[in-house]
Amino acid sequence: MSRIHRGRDHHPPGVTLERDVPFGEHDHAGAPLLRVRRYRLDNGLAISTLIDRAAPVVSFHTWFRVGSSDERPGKTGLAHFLEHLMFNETTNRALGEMDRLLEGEGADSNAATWTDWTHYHSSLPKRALPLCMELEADRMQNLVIKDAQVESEREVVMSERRDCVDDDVEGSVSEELYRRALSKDHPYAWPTIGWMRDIKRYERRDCDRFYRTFYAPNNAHLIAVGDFNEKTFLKRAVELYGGMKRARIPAQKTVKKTRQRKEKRATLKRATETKKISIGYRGPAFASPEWMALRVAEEILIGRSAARLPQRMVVDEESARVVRGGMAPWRHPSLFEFWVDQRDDRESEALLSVIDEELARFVKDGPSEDELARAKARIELDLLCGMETANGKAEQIGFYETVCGDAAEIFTRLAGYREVSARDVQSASRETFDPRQRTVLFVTPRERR
Amino acid sequence: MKILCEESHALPLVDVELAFRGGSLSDPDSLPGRARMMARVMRMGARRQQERDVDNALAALGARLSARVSPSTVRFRGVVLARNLEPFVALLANLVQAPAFRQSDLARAKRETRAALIASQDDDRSLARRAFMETVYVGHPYARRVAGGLGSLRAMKRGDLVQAHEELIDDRRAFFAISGPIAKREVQQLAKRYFTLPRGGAAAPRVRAPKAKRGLEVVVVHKEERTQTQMVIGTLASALGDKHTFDLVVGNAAFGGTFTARLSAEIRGNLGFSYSAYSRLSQRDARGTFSMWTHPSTENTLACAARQLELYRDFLRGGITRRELSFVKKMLVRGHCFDRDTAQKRLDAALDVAVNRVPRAHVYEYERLVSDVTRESVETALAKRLSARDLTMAVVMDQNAAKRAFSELEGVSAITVIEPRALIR
Repeated sequence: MSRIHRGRDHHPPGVTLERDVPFGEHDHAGAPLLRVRRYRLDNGLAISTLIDRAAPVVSFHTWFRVGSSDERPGKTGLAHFLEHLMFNETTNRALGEMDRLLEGEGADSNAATWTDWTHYHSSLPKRALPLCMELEADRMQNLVIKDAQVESEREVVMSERRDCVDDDVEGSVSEELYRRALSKDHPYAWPTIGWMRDIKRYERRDCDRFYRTFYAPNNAHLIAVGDFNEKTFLKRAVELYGGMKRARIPAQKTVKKTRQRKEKRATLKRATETKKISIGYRGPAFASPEWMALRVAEEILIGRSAARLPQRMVVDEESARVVRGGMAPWRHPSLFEFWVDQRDDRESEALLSVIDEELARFVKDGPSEDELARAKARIELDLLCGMETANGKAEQIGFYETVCGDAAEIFTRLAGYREVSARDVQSASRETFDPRQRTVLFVTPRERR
Repeated sequence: MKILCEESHALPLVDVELAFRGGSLSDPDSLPGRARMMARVMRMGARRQQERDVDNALAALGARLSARVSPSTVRFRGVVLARNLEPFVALLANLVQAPAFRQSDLARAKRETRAALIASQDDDRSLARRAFMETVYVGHPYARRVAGGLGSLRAMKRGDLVQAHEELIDDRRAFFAISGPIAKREVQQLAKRYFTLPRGGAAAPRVRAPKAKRGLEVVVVHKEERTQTQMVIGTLASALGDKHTFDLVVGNAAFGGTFTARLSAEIRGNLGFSYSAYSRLSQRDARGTFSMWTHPSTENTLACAARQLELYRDFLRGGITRRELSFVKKMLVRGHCFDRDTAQKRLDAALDVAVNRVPRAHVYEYERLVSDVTRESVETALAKRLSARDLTMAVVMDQNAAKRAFSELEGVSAITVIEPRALIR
């Protein structure tokens, strides 16, 4: 599917074209309507472009291959904390100036951090692309981190943690699940936002060190999608980023999927009205073929209201209000999660038995051909829905480049899903849904004073 | 039925909407939640078709379909792989035109809604929002929950749904809208082929204007062991189509509409009180609201509320600066391209005009209307539409901490404490 074109494109010196692949639909003559091209600067910076003139807008992303999985014990949440600091001051721009300049252009800018990556994204009217590139290049090498900003941002991040975790039942249970299910040194055993005790203790030099270590051109990927001139864009990218120096990026941890020998269980009390159950089975990494089979299994088991578990527990037996879950799209092996919000005071054990029964039946008999076809159609729909906007396309490219090393994987995987057989689903499910390999948390309402 | 179409060949995907003017405002006073229950049970299957059949058929088509009700509309909204559009429309038409309204479905939907209402007490932000709406619109239909409450659920009968269907699902209230790789002529043919809606229902009702409350009322939704306080502070604002709409849009953007606006710069940036700090201007047929949203820690709640009120009163007293005006106008005009960068958004804009009666100029002359705003017009709008004195503050926190905090807050006329359960009755 992929072809490399050399010599045909007139890109500026210092830029090497690495990949040129069709992106999505083809016209009536069979030519691709859109193409995604990946270039590389001499300092290792990767740049992907996709010209799409459907609207006069551009989405510009900067993805760094660093997330909470790169943190150390005692400094959890630092990747996310640094993401907040990146909106502050640089040697060339005053505090808040970047936001102000982009807002003035009508741009929408933000950032996100997760386990394996951090990305900064702006949706721009097309005239604002040069400004955005200049600002992004500036903060990639000239960030100023001061004690006062660390203190102020610490309060903001503590507020974010209280909102998303401490006062949020699902947030607080999810972090407990990963903490208990994975070994202490597993890079997903702590939450991306970090433990509160660590957030309270960051120092300026921690942030500075993290920034100098990971925010380097050879650990970054720029993505531009939309209505722009590629040649001018690349020329400007060389001017702004070409002089940045490579850094020695610490090798990423290698995490092998390990087997859990015995089921783990715990009961948690929370300020909630109804009982919940959180289950995490040890599962594979995103790049693994098993992951795709489990994504299909997810659709069949919990993907919609007539999927097996919701049909039985929500519709037929009315024991649950919600049953959902899935396998996180992460670089290292992690968990296949189930989340059950109970309808009433029935024993949680009884609901767990129903899940066990359904999973055992699924593992034994596998999915039907109809279920398989429906799951694949839904997965195709989800993929297309995620690509309606320039920003959606940029996000997909950034994610696949960062986690799988190739944007072409988006469509390779789509083709891969079409190839997934009932036997693949059955085999991946057998491997994963083994009760010995799971952690179960029962959540019960805390009694009121 | 009116047809709307936004042709686009960007993706092999079609967005479909079948909307009806008239929503939860048509619910009888004694039966809030009727329109929503009607839509929910319609989605559970037509005659000789169970919900499971509907869901399996949708999944096989690579489609999703939701039924949503707002105070002024009932909307069936879906997305489908383009190659399966026609069977999707056939399925939708059958659900809407031949609903079964089975007793068993109604009973199940009632139990399901009851469970959702009970679970909604876990979500502090939605509790704060609910308490704010019920207080600011007290005695007005806008105070009602679209989903109804536990009491109205118990009272709901099959005949109520049939009656709602007769009133709301009417050809003269209907809009069939599609965006994707399809021409308008084909949409018209599809509509002709699959829809034969009854005609004869009454026009959608208009709602009276709500009355402003007097003074600063604090409503505390009591929850123990909170580490932070979800807080909404606000007041009544303008009605849809109001001549001051764009003055308020510009004023709100300068006050709390962006990361660098006054509210966020102070509450998040300078004081670090709350991760989110923004203001919102909602548009409604009668009168919408202006509101500020934050979530400070329990110990910072009073200081945060006091500072927000100061900022708000300064805003009403002094309006916005020349610099803010020029900045916001540029921002809104330049950023407007994101309101129409996909076919679906362009279709939504057309639906806003057709179904929600948003004045045409507000959608299609947006840049001119923003450009026409002056400092004086913002000042006039703030004086005429927003009150510095008559405010509602809804907070979710422990009642003892709340009473201690808010008894010290200047200008408070009343503190009411309610349990979360009071919001789902």
